[in-house]
Amino acid sequence: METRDNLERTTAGRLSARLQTLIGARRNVADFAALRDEGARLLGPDHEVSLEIECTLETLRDRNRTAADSLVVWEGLRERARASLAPLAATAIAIRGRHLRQLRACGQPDDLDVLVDLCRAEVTRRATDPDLLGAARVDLAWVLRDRSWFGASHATELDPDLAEATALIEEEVLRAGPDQVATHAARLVQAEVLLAASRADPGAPARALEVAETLVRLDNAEDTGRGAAAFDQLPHPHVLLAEALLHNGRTREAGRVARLAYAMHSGSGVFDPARPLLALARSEAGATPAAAGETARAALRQRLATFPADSHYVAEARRLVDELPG
Amino acid sequence: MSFILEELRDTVAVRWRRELAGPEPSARTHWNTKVGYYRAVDSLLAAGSGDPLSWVDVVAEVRPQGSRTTFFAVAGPHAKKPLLRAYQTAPAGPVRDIAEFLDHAKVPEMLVDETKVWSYWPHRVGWMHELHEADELSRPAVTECLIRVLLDWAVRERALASALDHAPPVCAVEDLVVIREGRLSAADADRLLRQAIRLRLIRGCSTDGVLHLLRPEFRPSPTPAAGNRGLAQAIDLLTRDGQAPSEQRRHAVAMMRDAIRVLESVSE
Repeated sequence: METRDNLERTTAGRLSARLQTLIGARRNVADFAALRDEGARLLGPDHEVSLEIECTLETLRDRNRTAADSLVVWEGLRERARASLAPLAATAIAIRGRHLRQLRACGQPDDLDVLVDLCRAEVTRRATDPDLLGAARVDLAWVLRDRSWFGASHATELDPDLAEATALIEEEVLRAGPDQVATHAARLVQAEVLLAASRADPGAPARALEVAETLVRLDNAEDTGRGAAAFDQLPHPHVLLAEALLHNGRTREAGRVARLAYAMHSGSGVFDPARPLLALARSEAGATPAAAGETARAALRQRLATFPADSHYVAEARRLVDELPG
Repeated sequence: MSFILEELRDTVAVRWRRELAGPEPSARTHWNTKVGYYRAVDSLLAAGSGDPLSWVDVVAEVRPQGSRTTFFAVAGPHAKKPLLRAYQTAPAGPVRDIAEFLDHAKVPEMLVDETKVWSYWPHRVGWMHELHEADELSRPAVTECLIRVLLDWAVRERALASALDHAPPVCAVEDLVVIREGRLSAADADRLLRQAIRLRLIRGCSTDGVLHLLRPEFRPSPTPAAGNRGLAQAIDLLTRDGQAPSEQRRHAVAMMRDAIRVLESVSE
């Protein structure tokens, strides 16, 4: 006779395999929703497999709702995962990761400190597991970069956040293992950090360009696994290359790459479709100021359509519109 | 794809299990005895006491009670209907070659291999369920789903998956051989799946990371002639009926001018 534990293990294995097959076959939201209902009925809604299915389902639903609406969903899931899963269970980590990203997507200036605190807590939580720690340190570097970039500090000195972010990400890139998807994602964050450091560190622009060129080459040469969760919200390498070219004074090339980036990565599902337009506007500012102003206003419209009006993403685009002529 | 599904529904492992277990839940005595030994092996490995695994340890772990006689009736070359014999008697070809992976000198190791198949089976059932529901999937996509499912099992059953140098369940090896229509040898299928498990469990790769590393082995690379297909499609869309909005046309003209400048500056 099958014991209850054995039956649960068998059911969990079968449902978990169905989830993996749905993911691999790129099936639609309705199929994941049906599996979620079946998991909740057979295993209970807070079983690890049920939560894993729900996590995948809600990640897909995030594409068609605002970050604020998503955040409410992820706060609920995070609480349920905290109550029923071990802190280092893969599903608990995935749910906390999605919550973090939705909070980041809301772009509220007050949340910049919260994001850093959440990432520091995650690093502490994963400190004993080297396989899990790397991704948490990469996330911490990324939100430290955000706090420096979007925060009040526009100083010409490297602020402590950026100094810490630089140290973290350089270590993580050096420590890279065989997981090229994770390494590629870490290098995207490295480019982000170096671009932010370019405001104050004279050595950063050349390094940022080197990293961005490598990332674009890799992106053109092979499947880099960009569909993976590790890439969620990370910019495309072409955007980073355009910005790095700008920081290195190669304005015309920056414009060319920014136009390509805008065309290639402005469809639905892109986290920040306006970002290439900001680079393009900056590249046009010297030679064609009127076109630059028009491009910056297009970027602002795009950001208003993507992010809340009081977000730092919109504020950044608005600042550029104000800087450029009429 | 329906043809692959038909074959996957009637593999050597499926026939072996169907003959031994019958319909679920199984009421067949010999199968239930075997399952008692599989559980014992699984439990010993999970407790970290399976290195090396002896028949004495396994017998002691069986609940409610094991014995030397039943151990050798469920495991080894003289057992009643072992999986090894099912593969040995398959028609000549890569599927029959799978028998080599089961032919261990030590009987407890043969039992570990069968335990892997028993433990993996619910995952296989879930995989087959969704393949049946899918409209149309390419062979590479079915392979990718198989590897995802295998890695999910390996993470959930880490100790069992790690045993015997990370050998995959032989039913998964057979499935991969079937998906690849016999164009992949049993040894290559075993190597690919074993590498996937090692990357996931030893090297700390994520499932996406494993698939990224292994995809070149099961997805054909595009031909060089396909290089301009995307460009041609984009130009066709832009120019076909002159309906593209002005902002889109402005960006398109600027991009094409940039590209022409760069392409013409490249020396032959």
